[in-house]
Amino acid sequence: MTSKTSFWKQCKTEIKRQGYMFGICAIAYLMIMIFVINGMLSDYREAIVGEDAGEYLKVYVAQYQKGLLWTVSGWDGFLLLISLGLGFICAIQAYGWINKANQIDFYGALPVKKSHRFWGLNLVQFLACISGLFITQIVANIMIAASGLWTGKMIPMSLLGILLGGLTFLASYGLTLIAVMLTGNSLLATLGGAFLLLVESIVYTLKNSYVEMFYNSVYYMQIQSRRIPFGITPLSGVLKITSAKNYWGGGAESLSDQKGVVALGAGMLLVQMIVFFAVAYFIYKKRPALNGEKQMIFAWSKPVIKVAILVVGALSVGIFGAVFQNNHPQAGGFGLIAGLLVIQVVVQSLMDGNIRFCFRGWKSFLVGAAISLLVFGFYAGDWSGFDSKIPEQKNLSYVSWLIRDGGDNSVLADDGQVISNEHDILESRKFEDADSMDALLSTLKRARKSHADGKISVGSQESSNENVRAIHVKYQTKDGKTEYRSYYLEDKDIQYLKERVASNTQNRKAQKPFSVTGLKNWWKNGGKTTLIYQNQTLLGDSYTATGQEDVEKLIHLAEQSYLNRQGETEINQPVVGIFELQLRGAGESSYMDTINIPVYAADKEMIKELTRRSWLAKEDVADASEEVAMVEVNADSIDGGSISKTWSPDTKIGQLVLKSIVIDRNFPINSENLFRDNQYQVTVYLKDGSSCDGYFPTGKIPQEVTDYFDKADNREN
Amino acid sequence: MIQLLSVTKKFGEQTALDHVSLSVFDHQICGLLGTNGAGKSTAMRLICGIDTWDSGKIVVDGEEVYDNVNAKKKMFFCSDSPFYFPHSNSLEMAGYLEQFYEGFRMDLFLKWMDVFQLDVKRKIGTYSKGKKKQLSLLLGLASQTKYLLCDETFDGLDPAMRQAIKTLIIGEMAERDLTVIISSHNLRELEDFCDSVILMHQGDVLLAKSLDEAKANCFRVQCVLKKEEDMEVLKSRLSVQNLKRHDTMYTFTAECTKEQMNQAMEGIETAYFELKSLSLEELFIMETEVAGYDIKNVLLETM
Repeated sequence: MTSKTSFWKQCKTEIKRQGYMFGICAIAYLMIMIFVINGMLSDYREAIVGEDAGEYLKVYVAQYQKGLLWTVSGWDGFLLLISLGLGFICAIQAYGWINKANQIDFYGALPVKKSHRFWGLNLVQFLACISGLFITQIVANIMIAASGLWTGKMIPMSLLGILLGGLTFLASYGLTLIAVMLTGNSLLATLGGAFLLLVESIVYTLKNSYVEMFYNSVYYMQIQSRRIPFGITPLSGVLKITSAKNYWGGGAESLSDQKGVVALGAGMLLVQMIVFFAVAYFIYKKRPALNGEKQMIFAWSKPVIKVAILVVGALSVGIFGAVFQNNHPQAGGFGLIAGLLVIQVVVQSLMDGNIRFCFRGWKSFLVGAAISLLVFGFYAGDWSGFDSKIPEQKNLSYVSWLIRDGGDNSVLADDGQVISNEHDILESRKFEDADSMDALLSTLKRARKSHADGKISVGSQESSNENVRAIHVKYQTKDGKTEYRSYYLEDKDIQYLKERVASNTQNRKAQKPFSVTGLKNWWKNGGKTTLIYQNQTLLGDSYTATGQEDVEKLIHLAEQSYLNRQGETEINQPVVGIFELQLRGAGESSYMDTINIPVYAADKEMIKELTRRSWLAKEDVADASEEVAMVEVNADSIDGGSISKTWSPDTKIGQLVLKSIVIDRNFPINSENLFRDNQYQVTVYLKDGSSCDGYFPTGKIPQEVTDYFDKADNREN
Repeated sequence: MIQLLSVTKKFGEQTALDHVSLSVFDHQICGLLGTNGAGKSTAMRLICGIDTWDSGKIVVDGEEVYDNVNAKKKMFFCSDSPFYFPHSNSLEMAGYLEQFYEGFRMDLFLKWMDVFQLDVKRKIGTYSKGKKKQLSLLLGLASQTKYLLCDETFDGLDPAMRQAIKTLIIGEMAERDLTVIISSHNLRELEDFCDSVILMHQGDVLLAKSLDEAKANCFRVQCVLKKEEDMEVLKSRLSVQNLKRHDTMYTFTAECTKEQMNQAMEGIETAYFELKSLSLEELFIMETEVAGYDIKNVLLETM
């Protein structure tokens, strides 16, 4: 009998003996896939009820086919997550014998090479997984075909699903094997395998939690956009693959980019699989068969693993401690020390197999404690200067920023692409000139100087009481590093920055949210537009431009007005009206995006054009007061709540309110104006049942109104 | 032939085998004796290639044994706590082993199972401890390997069954090339069964000889000397061990041949003289006492 023969005989007998694992894998895959695909098909059946066999139906079919493609290939995560779990379970159960003396004797004495036993066992487990995947994909395709949604693309996608599922299984299996080989009993192997599978996610979550807890200037989009921290465990590979679907769904990435993301995720899993199996095999060869019932097989692994668990565990408990006490660092520190002691007792007892030995291993405890405290101190004490450090201008190649809620919701770029999320807008803007960089950096220095703690942010979130506003900043250094921050600045600092920006033509150009060139390219790409002008008055008359020529003419005027406008206009003047440039994609009737373009009284050419068209509002708030049913004022109260009062327009105070307020029909634009009083909010209810919001400009609140609320809120006391 | 050449095996700080060298010749029944923790089971597991060793060499018929399929297929190891697949029966276990041992004789296995009144279709989990050991031995013999290693396998069997298994082994040895290594604490059992013995103590080999040779070279002497001073003469001529005196009666053991004893007694007058061969048990106690394993004295001292 050659060793090759014994290898295959071993595989054959193991397949016979482990038939139940084939069943478990098949059932696990089938249950979840049938559940998911059936759910999708049910949604589809509900969605098509009452639809004609026209355009809508075609769109639905296309959408559901896309969804099914993702599902059968596992891009939506279910198939991959099941593979991840099965890899873990199969590795634990396949090597259940390795720590049992009589089984070691039995298998060890068989005339089978040690390496053949290793690879043979793994091959059988892999076959169990892959057969389950095959059966599942066949069933899934039959289900889809029965619903009439099957396309030829399902076959390569099914094969891709088997490939991705298989890779995920092997990577998870290989990593769990490392834990199995290092530990001396099934309990520790299970706990160790779970720890290895989750450690990257735990560390990443911990890092983000500490950053968010102790740093005020974290840019939240940066955390969200980096879902895959290091790429060293199978979970990160799975997250990478599933993120491809999100790109597609957002429409921001092309199909080739999506394929690239999947290929990258698959590549990560492949590399992980090779590395994990190589390490597991190396340890397997080194591992003594007769281990003397040690809990940890190798002397070196005990302190290393203990320190890792101590650090991760203690920092986790530390963060819980801080969360329960309003992010207080001292509570976090207490939690950290408590966590260190508890984990020392648990881990040492497990590793030595007896609670009596829970205080052993004090050296590794001290190392773990020192590392935990250093990490905690690093974040709690802001040793890196995350919140307080401002980069030197000479080290920066460019900066970009955007002020949140400042009308930057969408941008029509010159190439005709619509950029709609904050992060992409931030990425698309570059301020490379010295003046722009100085404008930002000096604003931040002003903000830092005005605070005793030397930090730039004045609060962890925007607060209307504090008159603070968020500004997202990107620093691009000359040595290629990118840093993001979200600062919360007081209005006076924001005003300083805006004045600096407004007074510089280059800066204004860089921030421009639309252009005629962009509009033309949008049309060229097959996009459609609607341009609506709406007066910012109580009655809010609106008008629609007709034809591309007319739209282009008005956008051209708006662009010129924007570039010629003085910064002070935007800071100190209310908006007369708003152009809503609605953008719709080619071939789709659904609404896609809107760019709001404000018109100010100082925009002479535009005002002239609007007058010529008779679009400009003739009435002011007081003129339209007969249309008002009632006016409601909401004020922040000293106890943190709010008080509201409703007045009739016929009353003196009602008339005063109507005369004093500025109508705020479009929140994002007008909120950028800094002269509003944020303590009071006004809602005007019209007789036709509609309503609109308004605000008092700073210093223009009628005395009668403040007197009323002072009395109602008992503020004088 | 199985050879251990200066083999050392450690478990952490504990040395299980310390430069052990021994040989087991073909077509023999070799008894592996030793105190508890002497390293008998470790030696057997290393011989079977279950584990590796720290230094030295283990050779079976000229081949290194560890991870060597050719060498391992000549061996069958009957563990002191045999493993069977959960919920399996004897027939399934035999079928499994048949895959790995080319010479496995299913016909013989079924015949022996019948003789020993073991139901091949009954779940092994329902067998008694003794029957599980019987099954292990029958599977080992049916595998037709050249070497059969039994780690305390006989200790759980009743006397009738022990005798039956011994008869079976002797019958197999008569039929084919079979070498058996048996470790046991039941020395009387091995005494009339083994061709050779290996005595181990604290990871070391104290004695490795054929049983006849071992017995021919060690005697227990009881004598009454006419002259007291002759004892000193005797001590100078012989390796006298465990010397005890009860009134005028001397008792001691001596490692020598009969001829050497006769030469040593020349010129010494005795009132009484008796020379007895040692039993295996006495040989064991003597050798281990010499090596410092005097449990009897330890107990007396601590009481």
